[in-house]
Amino acid sequence: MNRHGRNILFGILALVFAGGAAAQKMAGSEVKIGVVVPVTGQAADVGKREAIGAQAAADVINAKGGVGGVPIKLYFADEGTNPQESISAVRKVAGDDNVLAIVGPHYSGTAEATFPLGNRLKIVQVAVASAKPGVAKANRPYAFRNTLTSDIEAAAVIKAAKQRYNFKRVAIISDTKDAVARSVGMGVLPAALAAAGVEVITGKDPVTFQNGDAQFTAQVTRLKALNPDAIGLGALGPDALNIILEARKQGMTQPFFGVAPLMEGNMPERGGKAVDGTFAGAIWDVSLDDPRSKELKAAYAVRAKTMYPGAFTQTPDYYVANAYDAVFMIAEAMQKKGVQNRKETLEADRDKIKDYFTTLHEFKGVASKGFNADGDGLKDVIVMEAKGGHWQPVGTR
Amino acid sequence: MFEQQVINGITLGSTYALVAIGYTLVLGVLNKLNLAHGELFMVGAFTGIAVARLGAPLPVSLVAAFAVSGLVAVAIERSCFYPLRNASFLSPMLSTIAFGILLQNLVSQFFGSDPSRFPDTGSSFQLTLGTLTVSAIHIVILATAFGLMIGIDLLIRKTRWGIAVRATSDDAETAAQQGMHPSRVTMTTFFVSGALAGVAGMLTTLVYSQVTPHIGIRQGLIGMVAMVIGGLGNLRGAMIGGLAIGLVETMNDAYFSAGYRDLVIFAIFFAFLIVKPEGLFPAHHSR
Amino acid sequence: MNIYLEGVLAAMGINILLALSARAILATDRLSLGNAGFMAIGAYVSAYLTVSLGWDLYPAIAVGGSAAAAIGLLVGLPVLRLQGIYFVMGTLAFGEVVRTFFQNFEPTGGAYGMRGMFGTTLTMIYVFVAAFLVLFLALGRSRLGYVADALHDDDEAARSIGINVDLLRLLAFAWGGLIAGIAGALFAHYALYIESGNFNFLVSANAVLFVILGGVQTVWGAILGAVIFSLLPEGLRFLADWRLSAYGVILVGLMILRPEGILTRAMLRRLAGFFVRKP
Repeated sequence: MNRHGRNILFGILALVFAGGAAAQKMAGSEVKIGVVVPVTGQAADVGKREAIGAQAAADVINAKGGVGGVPIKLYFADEGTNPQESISAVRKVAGDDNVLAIVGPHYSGTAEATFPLGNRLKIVQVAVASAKPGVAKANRPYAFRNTLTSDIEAAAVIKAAKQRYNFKRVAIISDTKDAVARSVGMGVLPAALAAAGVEVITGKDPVTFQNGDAQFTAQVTRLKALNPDAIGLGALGPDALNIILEARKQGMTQPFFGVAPLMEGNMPERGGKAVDGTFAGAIWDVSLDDPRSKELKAAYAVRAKTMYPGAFTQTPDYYVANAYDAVFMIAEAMQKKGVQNRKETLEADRDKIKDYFTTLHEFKGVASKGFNADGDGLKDVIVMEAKGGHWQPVGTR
Repeated sequence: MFEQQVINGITLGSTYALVAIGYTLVLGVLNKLNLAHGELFMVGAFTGIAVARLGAPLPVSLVAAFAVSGLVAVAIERSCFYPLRNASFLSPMLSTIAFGILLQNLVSQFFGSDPSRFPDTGSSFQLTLGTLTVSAIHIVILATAFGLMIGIDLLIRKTRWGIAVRATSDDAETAAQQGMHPSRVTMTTFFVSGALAGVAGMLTTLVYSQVTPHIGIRQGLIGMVAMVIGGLGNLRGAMIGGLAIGLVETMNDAYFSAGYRDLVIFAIFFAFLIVKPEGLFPAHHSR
Repeated sequence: MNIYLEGVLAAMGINILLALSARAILATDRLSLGNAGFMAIGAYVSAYLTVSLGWDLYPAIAVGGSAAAAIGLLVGLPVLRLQGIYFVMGTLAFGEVVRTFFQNFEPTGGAYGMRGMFGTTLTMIYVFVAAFLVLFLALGRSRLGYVADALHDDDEAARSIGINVDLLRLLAFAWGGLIAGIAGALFAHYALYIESGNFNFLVSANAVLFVILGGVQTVWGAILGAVIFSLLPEGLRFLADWRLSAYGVILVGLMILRPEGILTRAMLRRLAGFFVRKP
């Protein structure tokens, strides 16, 4: 047998073994996945929604027979919107509950704290809201974020908004406290606007505020004096809403635009007419009606009533889609890589999920396709516009 | 633009002043530090929202915020101060922090941690004077805040209750001997203190749209700064301190960077405590 | 060891150090609500040394702690002139100034925070806990301990027997700063990431709560308080989103039931009597 032939033989053998492993029946009575999201603290509501979303995914998977015939069981731990608590929560699900992978944590501040820990413990985490640039990249190989980084979104939003409003001079208002909103206002938007040939009249010094501020009168008075064609928002949804409402109060009529952080907090529902025409980028919205989105919404509605029946957790947002998809991705990884789900194989099983994610580019989720080399999500951008009290996709999807 | 920023600053400052007055009443007059005071601001804001959602007109929301925050303040007095009246001042102070944690989390459970918003008041009235615009809401805030400030000032100086409060603060034992019920004076003082913070919270929500259950900590700290600047125990000082902080904050955001705002405010606070701890207007009966 | 337990114990150890730092100052009859500021200084200075300058961990912890102590001396001079509530507010202001400073200070990451620290082990934390505990017990038995007791009872009396009250308070303030600074340095290299929000006023308040609820009379009270109130939020995890509400209720209730703290001197004596058989 020549060398070439031997290689082919080895190749076939390897395939047989790999196939054999994949076909091996899962052990145990449950497949454990950890969910580390906040149910107390500042992000309690969105964290509760993520928890419901993850459970909804597990329900859908379990209704179809679970993973390799074994049902998924989720182990929840509250990360309290707080880095110290999130460390404890990850340690709990990884060390005490022995889960195979973790959905969460929620935002970048907690991910910064738990991602390095995940590398030491050799367990995959899939953050669901973190969008601060570089957080997953700094924590290879076990850190993943099923979220889109803001630069890709910004380019798409600016292109669409420019087409509509034909703006030439744009002012930027930016958060100085929240790391994501700050990076959008200070870095991402100015760069994307420059690339699109738009003048940034605030230059290197955008008008600034702090996340959670109660008033924006001073900032809006300043914006008004600049008289821009449009205003770019480096802001989270709730702050952005306050800014736009104040601008309308002070008689400004210019359009606003921003990226994903704007999608937080149901701005159109709360702001009504005042925020109409605001552009943002999103990866999913509750208004979408494709079959997979419908499946998510139905499963979510059932779980929301039993898990957290409060009014503010009944409507899924795009973080829910991220958490929902994350559970599906973990389940797919377990199935495709032949996770054995035994006590002795815990470390190997966790590694298999990591290996699968490293090359996952064509996942078919509600709003997810896999991960890039930095561990950040691959997703399609949907440019959204606030219209009649809802976010609606601009043009066709 | 500068004149507009001055108006912005005074409006913001007037809500700070209401918080500071309540603070200074309890601390300067009763010598009790209530570190959950900022949470009363938050409770008032959410009470106002809850009542307005039921369709009640604005004045009803205001009264509700006034009453509920006042009652919660009395609850704080009864559970954190009264049982610990023989301990050093440190224990009740720490107890109020725990009470604040409780309030934050309870409100978060019932209203959600996402920002809540005051229902649209439907008023689009605006007063335009040259380049200045003052909305109806701003006028409501300024009128209510200044009305309450003048009211409380009269209350303390002219009424039987005011005399009782001042007497208790000067010498609780003598006051008690003269038939003034110290426990009742304490409770009513707490009520007024909480009620003012609650109104400030509601007014703030009204104009600045949204609140979260976690705004109380900063509001409390800012109220404390305003109180110290004005001089502990001095009601009029607290008003001026509140307005000053509102102006400093607004001017910082308008002409400087918002990132440095709290650094500037706390640096001023620290400097005052070191250089002029008695504040701009030392109270007559400060301890 | 179970990694969850390991994490809980590490957080507990750091809380014990914070409680000791609060107690160091409280022992001279002053309550500081600014110890998170010292913790931040220790954390950021040591992190800068290891991450940006490539120092080893131990010298970085030493310098971080010393920096906090030095700031303690510097800030203590004016702040310790304040009394009662003014001192409380002065230290609170100090803590907030430090926090907002680091929120804006770009060389240590500003609002983006700082990463790249590692190396704190459970053993290290408890070696520091043990070392400080021994020092506390030794100081308590020394002349200095009696002097601090005198201070707690009456400043004037202490002065009249020739004690330099002001110097003693200043040293205690810096000593508290040193311990909190070291706690911060250990925390930074354990948590692997720090941001200014980690050092807010509630951290300072917690440190004092540990001491007051545990018992102010003895150093064991501070330790007991830190142990109980580090475990409590973990133990309440089953309550999910009601966890922190319950925590608040328990704290307020405990304060009412045991205003002197859980562990008092009398109780310690009784415990000692129970274990040490009298002839």
